[in-house]
Amino acid sequence: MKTRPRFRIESGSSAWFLLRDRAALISMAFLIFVALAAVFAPLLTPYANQGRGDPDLSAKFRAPSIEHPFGADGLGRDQVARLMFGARRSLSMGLIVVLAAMAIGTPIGMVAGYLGGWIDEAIMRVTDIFLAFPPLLLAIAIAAALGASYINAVTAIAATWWPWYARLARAQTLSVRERAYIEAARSIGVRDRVIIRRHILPNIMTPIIVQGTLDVGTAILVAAGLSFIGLGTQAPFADWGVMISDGRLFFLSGRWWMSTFPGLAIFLTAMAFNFLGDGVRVAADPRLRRLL
Amino acid sequence: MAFLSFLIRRLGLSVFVFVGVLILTFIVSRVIPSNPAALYAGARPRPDQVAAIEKKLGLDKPLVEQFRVYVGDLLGGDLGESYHSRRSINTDLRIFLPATLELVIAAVVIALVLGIPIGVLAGAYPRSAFDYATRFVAVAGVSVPSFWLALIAQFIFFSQLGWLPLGSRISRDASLFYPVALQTGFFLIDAAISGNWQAWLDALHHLILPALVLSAYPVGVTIRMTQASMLEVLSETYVTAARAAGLSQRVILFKLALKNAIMPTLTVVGLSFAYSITGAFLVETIFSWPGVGKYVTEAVLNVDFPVIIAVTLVVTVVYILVNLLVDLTQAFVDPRVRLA
Amino acid sequence: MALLRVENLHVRFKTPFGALRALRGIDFDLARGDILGLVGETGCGKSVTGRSVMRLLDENAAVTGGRIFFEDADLLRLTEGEMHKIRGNRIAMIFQDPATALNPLFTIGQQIDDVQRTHRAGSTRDRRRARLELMASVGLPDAAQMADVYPHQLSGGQQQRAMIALSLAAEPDVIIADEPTTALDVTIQAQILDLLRRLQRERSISVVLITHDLGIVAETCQKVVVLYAGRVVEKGTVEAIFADPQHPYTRGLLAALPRPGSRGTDLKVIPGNVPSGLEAIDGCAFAPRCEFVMERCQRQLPPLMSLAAEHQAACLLHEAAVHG
Repeated sequence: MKTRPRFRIESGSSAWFLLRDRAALISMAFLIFVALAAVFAPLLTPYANQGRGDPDLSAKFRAPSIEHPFGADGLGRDQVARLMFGARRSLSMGLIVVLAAMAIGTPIGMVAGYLGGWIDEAIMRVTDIFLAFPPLLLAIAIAAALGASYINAVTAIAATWWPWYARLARAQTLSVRERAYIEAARSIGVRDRVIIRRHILPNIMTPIIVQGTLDVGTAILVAAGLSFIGLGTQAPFADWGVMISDGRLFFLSGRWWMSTFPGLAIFLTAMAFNFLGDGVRVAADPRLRRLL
Repeated sequence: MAFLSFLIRRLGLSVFVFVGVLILTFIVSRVIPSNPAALYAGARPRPDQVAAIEKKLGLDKPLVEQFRVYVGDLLGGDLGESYHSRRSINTDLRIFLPATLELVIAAVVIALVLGIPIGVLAGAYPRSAFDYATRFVAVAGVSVPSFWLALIAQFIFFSQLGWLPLGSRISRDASLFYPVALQTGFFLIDAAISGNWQAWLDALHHLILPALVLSAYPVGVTIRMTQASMLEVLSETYVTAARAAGLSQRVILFKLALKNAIMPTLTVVGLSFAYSITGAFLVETIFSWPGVGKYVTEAVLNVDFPVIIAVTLVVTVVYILVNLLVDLTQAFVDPRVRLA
Repeated sequence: MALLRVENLHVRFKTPFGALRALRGIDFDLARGDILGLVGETGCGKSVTGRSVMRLLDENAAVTGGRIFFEDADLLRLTEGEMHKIRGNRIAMIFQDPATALNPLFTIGQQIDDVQRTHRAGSTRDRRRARLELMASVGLPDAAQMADVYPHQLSGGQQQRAMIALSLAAEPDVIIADEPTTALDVTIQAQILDLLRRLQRERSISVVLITHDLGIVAETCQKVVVLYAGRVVEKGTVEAIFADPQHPYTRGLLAALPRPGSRGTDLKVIPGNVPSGLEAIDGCAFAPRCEFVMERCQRQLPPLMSLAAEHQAACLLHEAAVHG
């Protein structure tokens, strides 16, 4: 048996499949670009103050030009700067919602799947109730109850999203619970809590991460939706949903740039997360590789 | 017999979920807000208004008692009144709910009519140019913000091409010269019943653009789901057996395989419905479509909390019924559920 | 004149690990009215051969050489449209697990009717009469009722009978039966094999019986083709091969057969594994497992050599016997 160089990506491995997926690669590059633009926004634009909401009435409704490539909004704020600062909020909303939903849903689902019995039954019925609401609807009600703000919007969406992860984690737990090493750990008296954390969690992470990747795009869309109807980020700050909302009344009267660019930003970012998620999913699942 | 017990179990689940939804909306409206009375009294309420609301909602009583009153009112069919317009929410919903359902049903129909055949063909010819193009379209469909797509669609089909109206359910001319006699609240049905075909055409003309915009997400989901489940079904032995028996590709794809693949897709019908409702909440305002979405969006701006909760509850009940219907259809399609 | 003749058939699979040579030159003839057993271990290429004849290989597989004659036509050269008139109509197929080979959402009657409608003209009533006769002839009781039943409501044996009825619906000349009894209980197995033999006699249908079980071959077939790693290692009449096996592999398979009176522990198993087909094989593929292996076996591909009128084997041990 020859020894392989240590960092070679083996042909047929998951990483190899992911790197062969051109759509996933382009998506990853795009997302890295957007993330960098968001993180380094203050350094990248001369209009950082406008990005944070300061008006410049002299540039009101300025059409795209070399100075303002994406134009300026009704308060004269540079749209490129607004987009970069908006990316901070839109991306973070999507990421926080998914991470929070995962962090709430996964342990609940693991406990349900591992313990079974009435606890499982009770938890699953509770998820049934949450999933009985059309998406966004319950989030609108909760956000309205909490009051309109960025953080309340995130809380509201995460509060309606965790049942998906609870169900996924439960199903995965059921499928690994009967495996020999878990039976063995049980038989030598390892505590349930330890089994769940050490043995079950690592074995069910892959599908959860795959789902998470796919969900970030959708979460960004939902968050933008809440902001669009006024329940998300509040002025003077803006996320991409707010920017579309700000520009919409001027869209058909010739000032098309205000809504067009933030819309494209959401669209492309959500697409990128979807392609990346699909790529990760196929790469992680040998059965799908055969089918696709 | 098996079907009867399935039916009873499924109905039981719906009732359970309905009760759960009542509890959850109660929690959202009375427990989560720090001062529910202020929320119910609308934007910038006076202290005496808040006190009146507190008394009316029984907020000084224990939660269990409050819940009893809450459920009592709802089951009595009283959704309360809007604190902004002071109108009965029941009256408002009687007009707004059919408007939204008409739009949503149109979007679901578009999603199924476009999504299923496209998904079938994409699943049948994996790795073909058609498959790749389809996957791109499907991902685009689920990634595009509906409220942005609405603006773009208005720009193209109204401003540039002038093919379709900008918004609203019916043109002013039609409502003046051929008024629709409202019975069901669905314009297409009401106009057809009364044989008012000018109004029918006009209503259809107004329906196309918002329905198309709303269908973007469900079309994407339907394509993906159908494609994935076709891919799976087509690798089943019974499909190979059908090929070995010399059956035509058309029969294999659209009869034998599709019937097996449609079950996950039927679940998608339920989901499409939910996603279309979600979309309606975001785009009705843009299309001046007088439905529950526009109603709620305005309620959000006016901090009209009773309206938000009432709409959440009613639309969710509609969605529960749709899911019930989907599951019953499933039993009808699959003899294993029906006869097992 | 053979009804079905496979000549020098080569098939390759594309895999992430490189090309896999599944078939490396298969030859055999199927005479009208014969039952021919295609025998070998899992992965030897017997199912791939059957699929190649139907032209139903998976997308990642391709025929890279050879010809398959049915009557006078080379099946590999037919258009897809012409092939549709062969499949089910002239050559039909039976599968290993009837539970998965029958469509769960259609009744047995509907599934047979689809085949009838595709290949046979006739009124709805004629088709129904033919269908019920057919179902009765494969031993499904109460055909009229069975026609309206879904696959999951049948027993395994009944499902396989239904599958056989389905394959006979267009009165084909050849049936390719891919492990038709492997998924069934032993007693049901015997019944299904009886049924196949009876159908072959009564309808003079030719059968290619794909199996890993030489016992089934001995009971059912007239001819045998033994495959190993994508090549024919021995073929001939059942009598010749069972009385006087010439290839060490065939001998090994026969030695592994349970005999009356022998206990499980007496069974001999051939040590070693079948080559994967990913690596090129220069000599005899069986050489690494062969107890009579010679130095030449590693280099020289043994051709099929005639030992008797209807008995051939591909083993260098017999070169001397034939030529010298």
